[in-house]
Amino acid sequence: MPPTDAEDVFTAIFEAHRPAVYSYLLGRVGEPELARDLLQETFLRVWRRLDEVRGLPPPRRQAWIFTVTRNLVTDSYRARSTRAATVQELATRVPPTAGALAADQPAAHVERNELVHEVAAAIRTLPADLRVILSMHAVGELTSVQIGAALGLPPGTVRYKLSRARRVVAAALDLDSPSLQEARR
Amino acid sequence: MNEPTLEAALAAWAQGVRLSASDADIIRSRIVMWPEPRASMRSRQHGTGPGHLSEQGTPPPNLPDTWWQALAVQVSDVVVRATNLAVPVHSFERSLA
Repeated sequence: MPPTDAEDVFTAIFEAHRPAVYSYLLGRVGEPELARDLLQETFLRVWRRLDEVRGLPPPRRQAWIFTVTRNLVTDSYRARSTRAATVQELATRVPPTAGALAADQPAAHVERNELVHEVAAAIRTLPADLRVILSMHAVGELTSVQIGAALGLPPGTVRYKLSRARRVVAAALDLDSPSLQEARR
Repeated sequence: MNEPTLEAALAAWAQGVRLSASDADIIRSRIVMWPEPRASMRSRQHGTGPGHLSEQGTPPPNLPDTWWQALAVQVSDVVVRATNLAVPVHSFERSLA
């Protein structure tokens, strides 16, 4: 069956906003699976209100989508307390530790897994606003202007917070970063 | 392995958690399988605000006027009997018209 006009419009909106919405969600909730579920919920609401959303100018459309996204995150936090025990149980099982993978994987792969694990742990220690901005930059590959437009922040504020986030993560990982080197000068 | 830079560490993390194109397409496909809302449904959702949409209710039955008139006659008949008022049923019907 060929795609309908509504499908084409929806696909264009989905592709335009997906990186920002997903990386924002990842920064807020910290779990890729939950971020995917919330991404689906967000865009299901876009689909159900497509005539309204498609009529909005791009900045208002983005604001509409992010209002939905923020509301869904708030709702998910409320629901989270009820499933805290399940999450705790899952945390003991996934993700697999580097040690568990070491037996049957090449050394470079194990080192990479260890690094990813350490980066994720360092990012989890960041305050939510820094975590979101770092996620939108690193995962969503968005510029400070794009992040600022989505979050309603001036680009300069985004750059400042991004720099702070990078310094905290670099310090936690005991790595050098350009911003750390600048700070030491 | 050489000491990784912060950029390389963040890139490795991002690669592990990024939504793949195929996962994104699965999500998109699932969504468009939902039926498009009808215009009448959408108009009743105005004012609820994004993110807190009410469930789409069942539209009221499209009953013929005669059904409502018949009900009005029955109700007026019961009221007249209960209160023992001498109000003719046909005048009550006329007031509904």
